[in-house]
Amino acid sequence: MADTTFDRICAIIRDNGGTGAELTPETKLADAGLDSLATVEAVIACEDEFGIEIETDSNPETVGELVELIESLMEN
Amino acid sequence: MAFHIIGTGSALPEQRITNDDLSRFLDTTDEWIFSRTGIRERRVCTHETLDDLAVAASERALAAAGLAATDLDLIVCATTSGDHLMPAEACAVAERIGASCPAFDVSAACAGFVFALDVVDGFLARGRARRALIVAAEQMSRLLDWSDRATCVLFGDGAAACVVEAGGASPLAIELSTTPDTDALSVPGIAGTSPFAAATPVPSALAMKGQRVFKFGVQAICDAVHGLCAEAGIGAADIDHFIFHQANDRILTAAAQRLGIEDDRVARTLHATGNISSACIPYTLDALARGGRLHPSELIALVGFGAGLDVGSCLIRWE
Repeated sequence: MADTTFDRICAIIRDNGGTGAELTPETKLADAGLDSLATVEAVIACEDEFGIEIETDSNPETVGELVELIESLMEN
Repeated sequence: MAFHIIGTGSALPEQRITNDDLSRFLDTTDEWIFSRTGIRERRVCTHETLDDLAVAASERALAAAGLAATDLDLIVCATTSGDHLMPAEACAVAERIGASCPAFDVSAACAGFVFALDVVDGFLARGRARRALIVAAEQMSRLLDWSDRATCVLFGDGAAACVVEAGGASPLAIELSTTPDTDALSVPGIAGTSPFAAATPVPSALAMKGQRVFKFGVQAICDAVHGLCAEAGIGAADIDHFIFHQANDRILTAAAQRLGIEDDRVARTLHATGNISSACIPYTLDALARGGRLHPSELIALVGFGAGLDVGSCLIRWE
């Protein structure tokens, strides 16, 4: 079964220093254990994972917003 | 016409400032700084001037090259934090080491050394010089807001130099680029006291959009290495040493991962110096050379990136 975008992003968040706690679309990235630097690292990892380019100024606050942002970029 | 590097040298101020020292007047800790930057300590000018450091680094590079100052045809200094707006830092170096060749500065922030290298390569190619001194010297401590824990912990002072001579295998590839963005990383110029100035003067303190610069740095390194490899017709696996600008250890790690290169081929000196802007690359080159880590015919990729946003990359062969 192919992982959803949400699952893949959760794995990236965990790999980039996020907490092991369960993530939901409403979880704030800061609450997921990502400080500003780790957020950039997760964004860079997402770019590589999904083959897209994310503007630094996009500033998604929650996991769900990051999923939406990435899915919108993948459609383009 | 091409060049080869025949001597390197560097100089740091005496005063070490550890992360614990900073935590005495900033709300920060050694663990916080080290885990986010890879920096343990930096050197900061107290009694030394930047001229002192630039001269000491230059004299060491000349000694390593076995040359006298009078053998030089050109001195180019990379700096954005010189002791004087004029004359150029390079002129102060020329005066103190006893050279009488043309001397001027290049301003390209943290990419300054590679920009200077390309300028010098042009002088050699046009037959206007055979031996040149490139010195990168920065006193970042005077550009910092020492109450801003997000930036002042990142930088340090220091100088490093190399002597290049016409003839040789370098550069195998060289590229400069600018992605104009004066907002990401900047230091306002001298405020002055003109009675006619309409704008309120702002202090000359460094301001940085950290996330933007971090991401740019990773992208810049990866694009530059790919560009150098394409121009030279080699793969990243053929490069023996990667000397990237030492802004943040996590930028280096992220770039190495993205490039698929072993982390231990990426040189690191920033744990002991912090970011010394244009001096990072020649300082690291000198550290590797003096540590016996460089061997003849090895390939070295240099990538500098910083305010501008400027990127300079060069592939050289150690001879």
